[in-house]
Amino acid sequence: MKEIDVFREMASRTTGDRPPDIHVTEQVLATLARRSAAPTELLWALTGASAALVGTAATLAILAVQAWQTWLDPITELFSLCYQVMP
Amino acid sequence: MTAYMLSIGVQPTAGHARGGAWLAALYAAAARPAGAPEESIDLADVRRSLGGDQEAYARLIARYESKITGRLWKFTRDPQALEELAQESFVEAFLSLKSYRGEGPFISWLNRIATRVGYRHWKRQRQGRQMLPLEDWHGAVVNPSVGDDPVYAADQLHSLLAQLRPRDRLVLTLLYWEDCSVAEAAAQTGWSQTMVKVQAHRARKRLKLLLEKAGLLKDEGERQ
Repeated sequence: MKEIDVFREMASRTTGDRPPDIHVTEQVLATLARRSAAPTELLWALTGASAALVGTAATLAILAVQAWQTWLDPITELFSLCYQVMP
Repeated sequence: MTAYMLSIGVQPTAGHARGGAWLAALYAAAARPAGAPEESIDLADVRRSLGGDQEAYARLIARYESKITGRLWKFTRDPQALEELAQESFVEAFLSLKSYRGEGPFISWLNRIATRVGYRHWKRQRQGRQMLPLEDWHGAVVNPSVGDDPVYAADQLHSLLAQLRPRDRLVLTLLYWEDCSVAEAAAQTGWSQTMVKVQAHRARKRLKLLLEKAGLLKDEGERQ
């Protein structure tokens, strides 16, 4: 007996095997509705992310300026002192 | 139900509110009127769907979901997975609806999509799958009382095919279980006809090894 004959015999025994009765119309339409709404949601998500990014960048800039001011004055004073001491 | 119908532009009626009545009406509308050519009805519903008529697409789903689940039942034995694959097929079909030109039956076009969805499912399942002992298949084939049960026989056949690579499994399923011609198998898979023949040859060799290992295939010398 060839391998395909065995296979066909096994396959023939499955005649009468039926899938469960399922209905997917509502779920498919709901999925498609969600997909069509997705661009708006994406836009809002991007807007939110952009706002958060701008806020973070502004905070970091303020902190950098404050740090610069804190360290700038002592360094400037040190250089001016060295300049005065130099012959 | 009402909320999503409004969101997709379908005006709910009192019948819709009753849920079951809406579905019943849908399935009644999906049925092909006597004498009406199936292809022209499908094409009209496809055009309406492309124009934004969701009820037309709902009719197409209702008309073909039993055929599509029948095809996908060759790809999974799990009812939950079957439902997910059917949903995936119809969503994918809707997104590719523009590519349907009405040159062949709508069900053939849908079957192609379902076959590819099922094939992807096999490839996802390839890793970490559970193998049944080979002795179980032998029992199913040599024991006629068990072998007569089509559900059990289908379980065994799926277990056997699961031992093969998805490509081998697909070509064997289409050619020798679904009885597709080489041309039909090529259309379903998107492969060339030469590719189908080559793949079938390789799949048969691997099937032979598998059946020999399971003791289901006796060699010529042994039988004489």
